[in-house]
Amino acid sequence: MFGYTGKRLIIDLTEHTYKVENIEESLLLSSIGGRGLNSVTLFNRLKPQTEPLSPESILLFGIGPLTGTCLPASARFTVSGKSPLTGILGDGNAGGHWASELKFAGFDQISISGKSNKWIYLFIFNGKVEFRNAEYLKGKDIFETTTLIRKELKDNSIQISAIGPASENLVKFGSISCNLTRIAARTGMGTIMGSKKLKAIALKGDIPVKIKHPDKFLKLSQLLDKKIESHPEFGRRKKMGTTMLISQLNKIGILPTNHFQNGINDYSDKISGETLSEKFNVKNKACFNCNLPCSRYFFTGEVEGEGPEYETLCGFTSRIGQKDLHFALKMNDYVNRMGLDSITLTEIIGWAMECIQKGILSFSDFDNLNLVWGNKKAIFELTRKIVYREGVGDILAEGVKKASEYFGKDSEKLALHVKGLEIICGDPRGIKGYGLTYAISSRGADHLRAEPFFELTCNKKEAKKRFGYEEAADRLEETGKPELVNYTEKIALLCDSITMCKNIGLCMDILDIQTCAELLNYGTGLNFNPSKLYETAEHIINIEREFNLREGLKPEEDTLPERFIKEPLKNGKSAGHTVNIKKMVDRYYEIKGWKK
Amino acid sequence: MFILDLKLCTGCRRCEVACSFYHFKLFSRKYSRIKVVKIEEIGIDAPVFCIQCKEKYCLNNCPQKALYTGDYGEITVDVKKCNGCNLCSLYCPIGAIEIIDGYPILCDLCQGNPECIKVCNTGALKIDENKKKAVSLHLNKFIMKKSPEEKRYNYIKKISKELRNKWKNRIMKENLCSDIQVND
Repeated sequence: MFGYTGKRLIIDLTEHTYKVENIEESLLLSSIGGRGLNSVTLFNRLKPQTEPLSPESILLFGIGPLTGTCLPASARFTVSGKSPLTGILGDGNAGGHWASELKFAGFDQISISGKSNKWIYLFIFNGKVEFRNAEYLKGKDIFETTTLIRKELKDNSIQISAIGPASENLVKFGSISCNLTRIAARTGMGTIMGSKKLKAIALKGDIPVKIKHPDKFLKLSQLLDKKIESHPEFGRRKKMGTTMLISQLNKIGILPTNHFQNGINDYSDKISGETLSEKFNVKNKACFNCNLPCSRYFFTGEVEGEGPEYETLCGFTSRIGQKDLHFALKMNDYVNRMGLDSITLTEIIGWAMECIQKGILSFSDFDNLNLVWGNKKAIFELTRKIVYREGVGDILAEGVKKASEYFGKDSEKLALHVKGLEIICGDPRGIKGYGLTYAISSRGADHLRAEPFFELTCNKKEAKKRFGYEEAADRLEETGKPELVNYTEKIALLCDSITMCKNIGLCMDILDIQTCAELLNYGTGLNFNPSKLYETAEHIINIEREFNLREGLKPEEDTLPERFIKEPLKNGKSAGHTVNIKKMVDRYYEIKGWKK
Repeated sequence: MFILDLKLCTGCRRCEVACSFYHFKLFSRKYSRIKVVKIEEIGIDAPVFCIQCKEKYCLNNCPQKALYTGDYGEITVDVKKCNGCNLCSLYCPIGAIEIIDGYPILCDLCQGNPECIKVCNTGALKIDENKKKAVSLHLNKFIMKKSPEEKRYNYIKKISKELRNKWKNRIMKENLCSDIQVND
C-alpha cells in the first residue's frame, strides 16, 4: 500500500495479546483515516451502551494516510472512544512526533480493549508489540514517565504517549500526552487508558512510508509549503502561536473574564501572547515536518517548557480572574505533568468561583479554599485535590455538569458546558458561528469540529460567493452561519482525517476539497474524487451523529448554556449581544436533513 | 560544510524527511543521513550529521580502505571495497554513520546543494560560506560502546550547555520576574 500501512493493531489488555488486521480498501475510501477511521470503527465495533471505563470499552488511536510524509503539518493523531465525561462520542487530537512514529512502526490504527491486572505499557516496534511492566511508573507524572521509559529502553528517539496521575485516579477529563506537552486532552481519553491500567504507548519504527506518485506529491507539498510561508499570519503565528488570541479576543470583546461574566478586561496586556513572547519565550518548537513552528519554549528560570497554547493560558488567567502570567505558566506545567484537560479544569474553577461570588455556594462547600477570583493558592490547591480526588476534588473530578448537579441550588445554570463537555475560551455572544459549532459539535462544547474562522475575516464578497450570504463574514450575525458551519465542519473533518493541523488547514484557509483529493490521490494511489470526498465527510459526520443518538443524545441538547442565550455582554465590542441559537440550529438541521 | 544554529532548530525534522526522500524516494528516519535529536525535558532540538571532523576516525580506521574524501569534502563509500563490518559506525563519536542494508550511510552533501538546507526555513542549518577549519571531535572507549542513538543524544546534550546558559543569564540579567530563583 502507498501512504497507508493498511494495518490495524488490535490489543487485548486482559490477555496481554495482540493481533494485526488488514484494513479493507473500501473502509479507507469511506473513512480516510484519523478521526474518520476512528469514528466509523467505533460505531461499528463498540457495543451500544458500553460503560466507558469498563474492559469492553474500546480506545482507538488513528493517524492519516499522509502522516509521516513531506506534507506539512500533517502528523497528528486522533484518539477516540466513548467519553467517560460526557457519555457520547469522545476524541482528542494532538500533534508532535508520536503520530508519524506510529506510521513508521507499521500501523494506521491501534484498537485497545480489555483491562490489565497490573500497570503496563506497550512498546511497539516495527509491527511487533511488547507488554512491559509499568508498576514502577504508577503515580509518576507524564514527564517522569516519558523520561524513565526512554532510559529503560536506552533510546531517546522513542516516541511516547502517556497518562499522568489524574488519569490513573480516573479523573474524568484525563489527557494523553506525547512529546511531554503535545496533548490530546478533551473528553477524557486518558481516563479510558487509566481504567485499562495502560500507562503509556512507546513507539519506534523503521518502516519507510512510500507514496504512489512521489514527484507530483512532492510538488504539491512544496506548493503548500510556500502558501503557508507566504501567509499574512505566518509571522504572528510563529511568534505567539495561538496565544496571539488573548489580545485579539479582548479587542473584540469575547475574551472570557471571570467565568464569562465579561468579554473584556483591563489586564490582558499583562497576560498576552505578546508579553509571553517578549518576556519568556526562548525558541520555537514544531510538530513533525511542519514549516510553521508555532509552538514556543518558555524559560523563566523557575519553570520551563513548551506552550502554553491559548486555551490553557486564558484558562489560568482571565477565565478565572488571575492576572499573573508567571503563575499561569506554572499551572500550565503542573497540568501538563498531571495530565488533565485545562479547558474542563478551568471551567470547574471558574464555576466554583462564580457560585461563591453569587452566594449560591460557600467556601465550606469547597473544603474552605479561598476561591475568590484569581486566588493562586486556592487555584493550585483545588487542582491538586482534583488530580488526587481528595475531599471536594472527588466530586469535581466528575466534570462541571455532574459536580453542579451534585451541589444543586441552581448552580447548574452557571455550569458552562454542552452535552457535558465544558466550553472553550471564546464567548459565543460575539462569534455566532462558533456558538453554533459548540451547540452541534459531536463531542460537546468545542470549536474544533467546525472552526468557522471565516466569520472573523470580514470578507463579504467571498462570503456571498462561498456561502450565499455576506453576513457569513460578520461575526455578530447569525444569518449564513449554518451554511458556513456546514462547510467548515467538512474541512475540519478532512483535516482531522488526513490528519492535518486545523490552524493551518482551516484557520489559514490552506486546505480545500480539491487539494485534499489531489493529495490523497497522489499519496495513496486510491481514487478519492473531490465531489465524493465532500459526501464522505458528510457521511462520517452523520455516523458520529448516529453514534451519539444510539448512546442516548437528545436533539434538544444541541444548544448553548442559558447565559449565552439570555444575558447580553455588558462591555466591549460585542456588548449587547446574545446568541439566537435556536434559529441557527433549526436552519442547520434543515441543511443536514436531521430530525428534531 | 554546514553551520548549525542550535537556538533556531525547532525539531521539526524536515531535514530528515527531505534527506530520505531525496536519496531513496521514501520517508524514513532510518534512511536519513541527518537525524534530529530532541531532548524534550531541556527544550533542545538539533540535527546530527557528518561534520567531516578533523580526525576522520571512520576513514582512518576502515580496514578495507573503503572510505575516502569526495569532491565536496564529504566522506564517500566505495561499495565494492566495503564489507559492512560496522567499524566506521563504532568509531564515529557522534553517531553520524550507520550501516543500513549492509552499507554505511552518512551525509554526502548532495553534490554541494544539500536538500536539508533547502527545507530548513528557520535558518538553523546553513551552508558555511567561510569554510571554517574542521572541528575536532573527542573519542574514547566509553563513547565507542554507545549505540549511534546514544552517541547523538550525548553529543547534542553536551553542545547544548552553552545555549542553556544563555537562557539562564538572560533571565537573571533582565530580572524579568523578580520573585524567581534560578535553579541549576
